[in-house]
Amino acid sequence: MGCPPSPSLDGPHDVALMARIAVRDQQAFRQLAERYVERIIAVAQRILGNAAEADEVAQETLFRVWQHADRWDPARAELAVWIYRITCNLSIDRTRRRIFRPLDPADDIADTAPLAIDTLVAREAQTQLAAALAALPARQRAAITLFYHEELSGEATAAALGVSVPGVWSLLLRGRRALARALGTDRTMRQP
Amino acid sequence: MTITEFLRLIETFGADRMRWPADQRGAAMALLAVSAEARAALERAAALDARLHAGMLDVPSFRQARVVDAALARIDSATGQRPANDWYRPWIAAFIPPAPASLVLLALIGCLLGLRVPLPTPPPSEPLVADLTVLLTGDTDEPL
Repeated sequence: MGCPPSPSLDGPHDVALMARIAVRDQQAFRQLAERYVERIIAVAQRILGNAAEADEVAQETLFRVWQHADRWDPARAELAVWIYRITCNLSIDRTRRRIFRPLDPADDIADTAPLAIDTLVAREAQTQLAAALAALPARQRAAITLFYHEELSGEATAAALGVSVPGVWSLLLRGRRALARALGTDRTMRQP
Repeated sequence: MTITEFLRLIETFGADRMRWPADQRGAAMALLAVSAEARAALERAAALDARLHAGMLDVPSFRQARVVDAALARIDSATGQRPANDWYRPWIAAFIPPAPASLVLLALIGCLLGLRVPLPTPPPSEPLVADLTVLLTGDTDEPL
C-alpha cells in the first residue's frame, strides 16, 4: 500500500516549507497550517467526538509542528503521517484525561429551521454513527479514522498510531465488528 | 481462501477491493465468484462502509482560519515576536538604535566631548603652601 494522501497540492513542497519553518519563517508556517488544518481538525473531532476540543487539539498540533519542525526527518516519515501522529497522540491523551465523555454528534450546529425528511434521516444516521464511534476505545476510533476516512495505508496508519501493522489490522477488525453490531449492518442482507 | 478467512478480510479492510492486501485479492475474488455467503458478507461490509463514509466531516473554512490564527497568535506569544497589527514598531526601530549601538554611540560622544572641552586647571599650589607656613609658624615675609 502506498503513502498517505497529502493535502499538499499547490505551492511549495512540504519539505521546503518545513525547512523554512525550522528557521522560524511564519509565512511558511501559515502556508503549511492552511494546507493541513482541515484534516487535523477532522481527525481530532472523530477521535474526540467534540468540535471545541478538536479545535484545541488542532491548535496544539500546529503549535508543536512549529516547535519541533527541525526534528521532522523526511527520510523517516511522510509529513502527513508525522502530523497525524501528533494529532492522534494529543487526542487519545485527552480522552484518557476526561472525567466525562462529551458527545456532540450533530457537530454543535443547532439549526432550528424545518428540516426535510432526507435531512432528518441523514442527521439521525450521523447521530447513530457518532454514538457508535464514541463507544469504541480511542485507539480503535483513531485506526478507523485514519484508515477509512483519511485513506491512509496500513503502514502509514501504523506509523501514525505507533503500533505494528498487524496491530492496526487487529484494531480495525475489532472496531468494525463493534460498529457493525451497533449500527445493525451485521444483520442487513444476511441470508436466511 | 476459506469463508472464515474471507469474512476476516472484509471485516478488517471493508468492501473496497482496492484496499485489500494484494496477496489476498485474487483468492478473495475467486471465492466471491463461487460463494453466495461471501457475496452476502460483502454486501454487509459495503453497507457499513457506506455508513462510515456518510459520516465524513465537513470543516467550515471559518473554523479552519480560526484555528490557524490561534496557532499563529500562540507562536507570537511564545516567541515574543510582534503581533501583525503593530504597524508602528518598524518606524520606531528605524529611528532608535538597538541597545549595544546606543552604548557605543554614547561612549563615542563622551570621548569627543572629552577631547574638545578642556578640563578646568587647578589653581597654583604655592600660595596655599605659603598660607599653611604662615599659619603654622607665624612667619611672614611682610615687615612688622
